[in-house]
Amino acid sequence: MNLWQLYIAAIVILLGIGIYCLISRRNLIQLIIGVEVIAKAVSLSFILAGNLQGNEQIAQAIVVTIILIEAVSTAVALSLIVAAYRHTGSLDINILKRLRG
Amino acid sequence: METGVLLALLAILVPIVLGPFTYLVEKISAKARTIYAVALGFITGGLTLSLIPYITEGTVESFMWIPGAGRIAFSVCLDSFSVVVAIVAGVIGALVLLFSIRYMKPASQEYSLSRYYWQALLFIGGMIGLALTSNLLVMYVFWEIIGFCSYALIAYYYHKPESVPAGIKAFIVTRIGDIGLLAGILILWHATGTLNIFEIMSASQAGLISFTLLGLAGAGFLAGAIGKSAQFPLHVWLPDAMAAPTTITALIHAACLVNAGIYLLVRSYPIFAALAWWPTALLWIGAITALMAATIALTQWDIKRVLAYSTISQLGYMMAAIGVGALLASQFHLVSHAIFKALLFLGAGSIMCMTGGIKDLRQMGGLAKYMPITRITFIFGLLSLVGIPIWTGFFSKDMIMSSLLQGGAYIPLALLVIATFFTAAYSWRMYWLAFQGEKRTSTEVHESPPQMTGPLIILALGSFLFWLCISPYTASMAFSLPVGYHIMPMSLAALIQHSFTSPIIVVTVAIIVTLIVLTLKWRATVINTYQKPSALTLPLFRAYWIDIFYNRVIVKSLLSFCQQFRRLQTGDLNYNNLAIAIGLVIFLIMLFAWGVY
Repeated sequence: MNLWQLYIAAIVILLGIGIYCLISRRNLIQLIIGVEVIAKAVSLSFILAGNLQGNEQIAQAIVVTIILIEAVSTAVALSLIVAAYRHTGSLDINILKRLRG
Repeated sequence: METGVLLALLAILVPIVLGPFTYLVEKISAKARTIYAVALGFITGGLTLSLIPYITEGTVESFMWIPGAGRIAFSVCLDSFSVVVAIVAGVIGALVLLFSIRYMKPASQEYSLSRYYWQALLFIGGMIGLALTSNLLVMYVFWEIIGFCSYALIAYYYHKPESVPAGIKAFIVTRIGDIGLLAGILILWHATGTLNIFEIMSASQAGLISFTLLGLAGAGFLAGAIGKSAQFPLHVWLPDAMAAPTTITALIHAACLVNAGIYLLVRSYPIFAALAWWPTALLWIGAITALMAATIALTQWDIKRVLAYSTISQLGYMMAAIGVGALLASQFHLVSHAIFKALLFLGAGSIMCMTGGIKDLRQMGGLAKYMPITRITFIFGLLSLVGIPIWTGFFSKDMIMSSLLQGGAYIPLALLVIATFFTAAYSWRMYWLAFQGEKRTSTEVHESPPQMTGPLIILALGSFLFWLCISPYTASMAFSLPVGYHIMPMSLAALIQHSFTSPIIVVTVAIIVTLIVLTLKWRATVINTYQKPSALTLPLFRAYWIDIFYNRVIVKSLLSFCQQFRRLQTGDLNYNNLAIAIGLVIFLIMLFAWGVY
């Protein structure tokens, strides 16, 4: 078994975990974790693709950028969650779904 | 870059880019914001006027916007059609903004005036951009900008129950036409590989576009123009758009929005003239709309609705003129209509502002004594609308009808002539109910302040004198259109001779006689008309039940159809994610099945 097949397996497993989390969870924090796991799968696939194509440096640069953007978007999402929690007193998305005051 | 092109770009960009800063200037003071916005309006108007010397050069300059894909360029084209439409938008827009200072003051308690001013400026800028570009895709972008602005401004008084539905209605109804226009543009792009209207014209004249594609594109353009210029059967949004502030109705119905459709058809006429049915369709739609709307206007009580149906009717005249290839007549009437209709709407605004918002003609009456300037200017507008010599409306309407006569379109001409009599009747009725007779409102009424009467006087002079400019206006028209559609320059003497010797002068004389008879014999009857509509006038009063028909048949059935899909939209995030995951799996399976990997 080649190393890159292991990588593929890891990517698919991470993606599956993330999507399963998004489908099955109702808690906002858990959803953010799910999104993060998916993002890690994406980063990993970039690394793999860079390795297979023979230009790891570009791949690494992209992944570092992705991590940065992820951090920013997570910070925004978490602050929104804090605001939503203050507003509704709950982390359940079904309560936010109503979109009413 | 040439000076003319630079000025044109400035005229487009100044209102669009600097408009939103009204919100910043508001931080200083509300007064500074108003001055800033009105000054921007006047700068824009001045910039459009400064384009006049560059008309003769027929300047065209392109700036690459999206290189590669289809060579989409932001091209500026200065000719007598485009610049005149831009001037109408810029100058009338500036006067409307000046008028707004006093008119919108009561609204500032409840609604944001910064929003009002920047959307009005965006509207004016969008219309100038639409007029001055010769690239169809760029034109479509501006077309949508003015569509959005009309929606937002019609719904401006969002606390009032009728405003927001009226805005949405205007948006959706014009959208039906817009889709046709976009489809037409894309078909022409597919057929010719270019979006420049002049290149498409020469391709069409050389017979490079197949008749099937040309027909489809022509139908699309026609749909777009019918929607924007409120022609039958898509005219229903325009009367409801009266929920907008009256100043904005002057912008929408006179200076900007409704002219866009007519302008588009004039511009694209050489492309589609080869189709036999296309001009005929325009002719009939225009004539039917003109007559239908004029009859409805006869029975309405809301002064703004009378003017709205009058707008639809006058646009029908322009449409019919394009149908017989009288592009000059159509554009001339567009300008003269823009001036007198802006004047009439602002006059109605002046009445409404001073009487505390009375729109109903039954409650006005006897205002002549209290508002002399409004009255005189209103009369000027009405005389131009009816087509009394020597107001501009006489010359432009006469030009339309005599070109129909020359074109041999006798039945549409008959419809237009009947519509002219109805025009005279409703104008006379509106004037008499509003200004003559007993004063029926108990509010204290006095004349409007100078910042309202000023624009009225300027527009009244314009509606009286614009026809004197016919010779410079037509001097460069020959350059605007390709070979075969040349418009010969017309001197003032030729215009006068043409108007007073054509057979249509009989109609004018008959109308003057009608007006005199109405005044002498029927005055009392009209003023006392408080009874319910009779069997004869009920269809007119209800606007032929077209609105109700659309509501019952189209809107209801569409809504019930869409309700079937309501349960797909659970709003539950988990289900949505599940659907996304399933979609991803299906996509991957498709990739493998097609052997991409």
